[in-house]
Amino acid sequence: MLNEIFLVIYHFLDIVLPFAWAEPVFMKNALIALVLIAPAAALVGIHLTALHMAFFGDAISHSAFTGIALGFLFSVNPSLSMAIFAVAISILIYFVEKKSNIAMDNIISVMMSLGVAAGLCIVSFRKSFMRDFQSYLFGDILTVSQGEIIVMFLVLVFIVIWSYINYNRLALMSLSPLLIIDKAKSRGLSKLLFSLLCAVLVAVSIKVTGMLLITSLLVIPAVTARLIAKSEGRIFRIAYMIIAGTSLFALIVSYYLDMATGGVIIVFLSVLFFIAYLLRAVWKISL
Amino acid sequence: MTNDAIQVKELSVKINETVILDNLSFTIPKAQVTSIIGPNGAGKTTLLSAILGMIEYSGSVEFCDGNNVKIGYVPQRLSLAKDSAVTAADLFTMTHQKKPVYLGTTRRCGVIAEEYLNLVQMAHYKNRKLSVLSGGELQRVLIGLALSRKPSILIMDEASAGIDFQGSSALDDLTRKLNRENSLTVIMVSHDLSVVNRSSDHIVCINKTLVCQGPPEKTLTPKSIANAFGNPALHSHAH
Repeated sequence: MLNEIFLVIYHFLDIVLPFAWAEPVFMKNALIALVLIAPAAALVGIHLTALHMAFFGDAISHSAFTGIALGFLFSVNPSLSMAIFAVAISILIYFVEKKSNIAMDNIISVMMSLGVAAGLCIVSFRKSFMRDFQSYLFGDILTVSQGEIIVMFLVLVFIVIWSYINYNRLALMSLSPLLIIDKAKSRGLSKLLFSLLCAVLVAVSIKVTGMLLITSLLVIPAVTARLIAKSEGRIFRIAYMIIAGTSLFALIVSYYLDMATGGVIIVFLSVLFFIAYLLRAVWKISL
Repeated sequence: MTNDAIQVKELSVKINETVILDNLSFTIPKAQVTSIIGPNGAGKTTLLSAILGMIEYSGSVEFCDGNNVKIGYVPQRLSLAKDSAVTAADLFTMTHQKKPVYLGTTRRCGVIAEEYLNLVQMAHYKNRKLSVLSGGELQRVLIGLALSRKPSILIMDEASAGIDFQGSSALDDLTRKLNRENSLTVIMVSHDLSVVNRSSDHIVCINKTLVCQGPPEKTLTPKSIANAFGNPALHSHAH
């Protein structure tokens, strides 16, 4: 059944993209994965930057190091162990922050160090793990499987539903928690749910850019969009177009130049950020 | 029927074993402007948080029109990043609309924004980003937003802090106008005794405990100011 659905999608892509680069199945899978990740990354990235949680995203992505290592160690699917470990770290950060007087950035710094250090210990213990690590460290979108695409689709559906319910509330919360006084009791829960969502999205999309750059995929488009958007309502559309456009362009460029797609995506996103900065600062252009 | 909007009885707040508020009892009269004054660290913001039910406390806070009374809250400031793209109209959309702001603004929300921004004379800044508004203009937008919830009690936390005399005076006039025209109960926290003296009907002066309460002419005396602030010279400033 799933195979048939994929065959229909591949056939559709053959019709709308009759180009040499789009012929191989791995390129089609990569394209589908990017189409699914783009809106999810835009929605989560907007709140991640507005709530000043970019550093949190880094902690989650770096903790994936231990999650993957544990997966290799116990012969569990590394993507699954990575997601579980990322969720566990985000819950730990949330509760330590809530129950202590320690500043959030200090807690995140400790957790990030733990995430990297523990992973390093496990990898050095079993050196054969090292070569399998590469695709997680630097990303390898061209190896994304149909199963991973289905997981990405489910995560996207969940994020879209979550966003429909919570977008306005989180946007107000980022301005002042006191703007939602009638929902004060659910504020902590909203933030915890958002943290978990970040953890799951980072784990699912780590193959796009790798754990070293995944936060950039969430942060740069949101920051660029906010720079040139005329209003809050336009940020999502701009961020989505930035991710979708640069990802597609980077996929084609990396195919012909034989470069790492994740790296090319982030370089293009960064270039776009500086272009947006110039548009805004010099020519006062906003969209 | 009572003329009080809120009755606070034996209210105490402890945070990490430190007493922030100790056995406060006072009333907030209905349809009047009440100022809560006190020195830094007196517990004014904690008192507001207790009234809003956002922190745990002992004692009681009774709303005389029932506990479902609608409260409008005007925060002291927003954590607005320099690159924030939120406009005045966006604030209303995000407050009154369930569907995300990026899916557009419903006609109803547009009307609400227009109506209440007009009320605070900010309709012409509807599509301007909050990050480029002055302190006084931003406070006006926030008052409009709080009023759009149709509250019977409006709470303002240091609304005129960091605003120049002209802006602060305009804000006072607006508060008075809203209070008179809508029989709105207004509670404001302020450091500025001249503002308090000019615009309040009732004063609640605290310094962890209740120092005094009553009309300005009876409460803003050298003795009570010295008790609360430790400096009676502030009295002449208040007048």
